[in-house]
Amino acid sequence: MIRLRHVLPIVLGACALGAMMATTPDFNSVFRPLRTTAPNGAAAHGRLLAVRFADWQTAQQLSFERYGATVMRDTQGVFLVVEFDISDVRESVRLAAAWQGRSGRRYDQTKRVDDAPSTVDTRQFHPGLEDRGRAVFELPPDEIEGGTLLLARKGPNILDSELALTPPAGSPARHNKLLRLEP
Amino acid sequence: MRQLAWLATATLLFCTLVAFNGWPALRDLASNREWRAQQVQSGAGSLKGLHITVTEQAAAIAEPRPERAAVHVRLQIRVTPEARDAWKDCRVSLRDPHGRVWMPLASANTDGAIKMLSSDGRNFGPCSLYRRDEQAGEETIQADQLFLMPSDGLQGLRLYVSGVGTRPDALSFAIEPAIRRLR
Repeated sequence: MIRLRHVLPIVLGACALGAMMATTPDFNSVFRPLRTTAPNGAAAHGRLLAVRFADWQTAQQLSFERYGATVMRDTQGVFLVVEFDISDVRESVRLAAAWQGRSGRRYDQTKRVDDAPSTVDTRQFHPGLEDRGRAVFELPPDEIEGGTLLLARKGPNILDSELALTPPAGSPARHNKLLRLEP
Repeated sequence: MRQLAWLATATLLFCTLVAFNGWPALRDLASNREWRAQQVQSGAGSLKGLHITVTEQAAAIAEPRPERAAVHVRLQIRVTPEARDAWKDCRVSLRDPHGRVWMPLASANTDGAIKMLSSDGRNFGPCSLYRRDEQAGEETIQADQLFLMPSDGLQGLRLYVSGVGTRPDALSFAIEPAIRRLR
């Protein structure tokens, strides 16, 4: 009985320590942004702004004006063009957009349309001015349905907001052979 | 009594550990915030050897977009090598009484707007303390900033100027831009 009194605290301590070690979050989990998810039609509110999913469409080819010349892009997958409404901005902010497909894979906005009109890489959003942003992704076709749009402040985003916007159910109603991106 | 001593020691060690780990985070937070703003009434002020004067301020509202105003601010900065080392860089922002923060526009399109709004038709570029000449002693430089704001929010604005080396200290100037309506 006396031996048990000595051994029991050690066993309990080891169990507690093991439980803590097993449940310790990894580095990425500790420092990742804090996600706020909004259902379709609702606005997601973050620390610096609120965003609502507005529209989406797909295209096989994109064209846009850059430095006075027309740029054409085509893809072996599909282009997904997403638009979102920005409101309630508290501080001028630049955004980074990503699409999380049904598989869980994350796709950043394609660099192939950098400097296209109104895409988030060219835009800065300011307080008091309601605005609309656009993000373009190049995806495998089966990653569109069931996906989520993710928006966060551009640059280091440790423990800041990440807004997850749910699109309407199903696939985009509009598919274009060629879509021209206008300002 | 002996248990109390152990408890006190453990508490002291815990607090030391928290302070040791939290100190870099606190420093990091302080280097990005401006919670000790020095209110400047006369349009000119000094902080850590850098003397800054607001020499021009103007707002333009264009008829096609009457809800938006472009606000131009020109700074004249007297820089010494010691001040440059103390400040390290220069950040300019506008704040309203509700705590909203506007950062300067950073795109190629701002050049024409600044030249149109400045009194001499020139654009000296954003605030930068970059040393152009290793031998440079005391010099006076100018900087032009352009902000995009709601046209009904031009009252009670303050211009904050700070550097990595000064924050959380900053200079805060009252701004009342003259409004020009453009057709």
